[in-house]
Amino acid sequence: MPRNFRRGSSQRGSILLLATFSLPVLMVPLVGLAIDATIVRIAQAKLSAAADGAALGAGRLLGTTANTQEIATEFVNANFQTGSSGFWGVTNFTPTVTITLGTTKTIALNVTATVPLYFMRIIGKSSTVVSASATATRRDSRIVMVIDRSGSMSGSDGAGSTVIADVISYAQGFAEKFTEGADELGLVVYDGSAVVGYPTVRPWDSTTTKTSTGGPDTSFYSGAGADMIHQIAAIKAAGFTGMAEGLWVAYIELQKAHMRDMAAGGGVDDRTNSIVLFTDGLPTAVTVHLNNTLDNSILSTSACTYKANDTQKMIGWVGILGPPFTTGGGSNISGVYGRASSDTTQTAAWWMANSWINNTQGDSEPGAPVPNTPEGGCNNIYSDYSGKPSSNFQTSGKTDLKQVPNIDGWGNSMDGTAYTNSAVYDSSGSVATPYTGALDHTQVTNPSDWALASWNETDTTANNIRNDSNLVNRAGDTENIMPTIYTIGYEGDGGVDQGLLLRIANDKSSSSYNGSQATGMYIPASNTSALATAFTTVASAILRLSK
Amino acid sequence: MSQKNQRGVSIVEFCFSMLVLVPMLLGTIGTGLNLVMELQTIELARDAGHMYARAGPAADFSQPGYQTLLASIGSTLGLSTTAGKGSAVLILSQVLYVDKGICASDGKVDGSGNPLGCTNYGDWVFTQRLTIGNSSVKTSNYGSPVVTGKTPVTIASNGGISLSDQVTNVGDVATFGVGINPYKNVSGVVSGLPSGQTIFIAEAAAKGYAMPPIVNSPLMYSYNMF
Repeated sequence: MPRNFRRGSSQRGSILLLATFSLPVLMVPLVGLAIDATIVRIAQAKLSAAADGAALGAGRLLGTTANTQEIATEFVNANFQTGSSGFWGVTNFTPTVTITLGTTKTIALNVTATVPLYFMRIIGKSSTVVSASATATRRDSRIVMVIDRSGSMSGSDGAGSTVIADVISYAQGFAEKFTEGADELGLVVYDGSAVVGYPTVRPWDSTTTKTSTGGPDTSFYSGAGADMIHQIAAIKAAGFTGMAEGLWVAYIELQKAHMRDMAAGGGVDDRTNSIVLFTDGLPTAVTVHLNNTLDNSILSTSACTYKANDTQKMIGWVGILGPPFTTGGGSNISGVYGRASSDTTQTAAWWMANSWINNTQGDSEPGAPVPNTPEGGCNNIYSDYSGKPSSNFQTSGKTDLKQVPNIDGWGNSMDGTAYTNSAVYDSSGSVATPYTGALDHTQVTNPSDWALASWNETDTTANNIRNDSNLVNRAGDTENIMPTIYTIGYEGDGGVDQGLLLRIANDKSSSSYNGSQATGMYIPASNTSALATAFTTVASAILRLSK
Repeated sequence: MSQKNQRGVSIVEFCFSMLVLVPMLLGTIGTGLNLVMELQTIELARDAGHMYARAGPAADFSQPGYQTLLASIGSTLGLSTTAGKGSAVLILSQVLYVDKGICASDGKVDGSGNPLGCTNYGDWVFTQRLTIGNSSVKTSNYGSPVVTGKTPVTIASNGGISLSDQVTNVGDVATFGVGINPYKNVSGVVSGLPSGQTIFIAEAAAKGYAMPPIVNSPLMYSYNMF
């Protein structure tokens, strides 16, 4: 060992010296670098989160009258406060907002900020600039409200008003939450049969081509006497509950608007498609096409004139009276009536204020016979149009019919055992035991078998809508419109079938939840306050998804 | 000085230097861990809030499955799905501006459509409040629905609050003023918008890493509005 290293004076204090010199020269800068880098990373993460929140928050308002540029800036400021009271002493906070309008509206934010450095300033670096960006889009909505205006809706809401009056108010409030000129809204009401209330184009066009008339539009809140708000106000309650047809007519309306917009948009339609179904009861009506070639329900021995397939005759609906199908009961069958949607004489406003009971045209199919004349000799199954059930159906129906149809009037299946998933809840929370017996199609005069078919029809119809089953029939279209269905059930009128409404919505809690279809939501409401909440909740959910 | 004595001096010097270096090292570790936790808290508030604001009916965060998902995101912070457990809390709030349309939805308007008996008109109120994890870690900076007293706000099992409480119960009004409310600085804009303007808020808080007396347990907190 060299001599000088053996000198005690040199060796004493070497570690202290080393530590003393290494602290400012090596350790503090290294530790400082780590801390400063982490702070910069934290500031950048917070900045990115602030931008993300601002993009989504302001993006919801794209297409409205709001100054989204200003609101986006305020959102960023609120999420990332700077200065002495703000986040890590960040300064020079500069958000830049870029907005692109169209059916799919985009908001893009880029935010920069200067982050102070605490240790690195030792080597002359006192701050650094971080940036973050975020983008959000808002897809305009296309919504059809489907409102039950069956007779039970005229009952008391328990708070001094009627259920129908409450629903009118809440439905108007729902519509007003959407943006006139950007979102498209439409209205369908149903009793035993469904009819389009808005737009008011009559006669109703059931085709789904780019030149079809009607379909939800952006003028729903124009203030005109026939806008959707006024049409909702005109709704009167009476009749049965043809839930399946209400859904299917709404689906047709969505398709018409989709085809129209796609043609106008050069083959592109970005809107979200939703159906909002309200009901206070259970399905008590089915649509029928009795001489459908695929499922002919007319006996060859019947006196009915139109036993062979006819695209206009023998199409209508049947109401089921009495207790719900869950008991396997039912007391009567209404007889066959023509579809409200096929009526060629009355206006949409008339149909809001009148139900099938008041339809003096009776069988309202195109080219229908004169009022009060049963269809083509089918005296046993057609009503006398007086508002009373056919007096012959349950005694002589077998003379004309050989089966409860397997396919409904719109081509949806009524067969199967889906009804075993029924769960009828009343306002007290009690649930009825579902009926588990078989649906016997040969029992044409048995109300409960018609009721079971009605349950199946509604369930199948909703499933076909969510699958966009009519896509194959839309010429020139390959885009599945993926409708989302929201259901609201008012339990105060004797109960609703939660089992069915969950399935219609494809709610996560449904017994048939299908992850490949749009996930909807079922909201029960036991009183008028809960009903109001339900409408606002659905509006909020749709506005969330539209961005 | 003998070799033996010199070794003794080195050990003493080493001990002295360690008196400085070890606390510095421990402090660095503790501070570093807390900085990482701060970062994780920001990420939790952002990710949870983003999902909350976007998900719609596809995700009900009152359901155990979705709370488990959130807890997994916040697992490093100690977020638990069991109420009162863990060392972190996630508070999800949905606040609504009570405008004329909302008043009308609850029937609290006169014949001309002007608010009548609509106590919370012009206020921001809670429409949903979900608290996941240990609520004793931190309460919301935005206040909470008052669930006690003569007229308590009722929070349903899914976190929802009835329209009636939103419109007329002052206990449901959120603390949502200038500085933290994106709309407050934008003059008059709320009244010019479609009815039912809503903001989604996610707040995450966690107890920081403690190494007494060198590093105390700071409270990590982050919020994000969507």
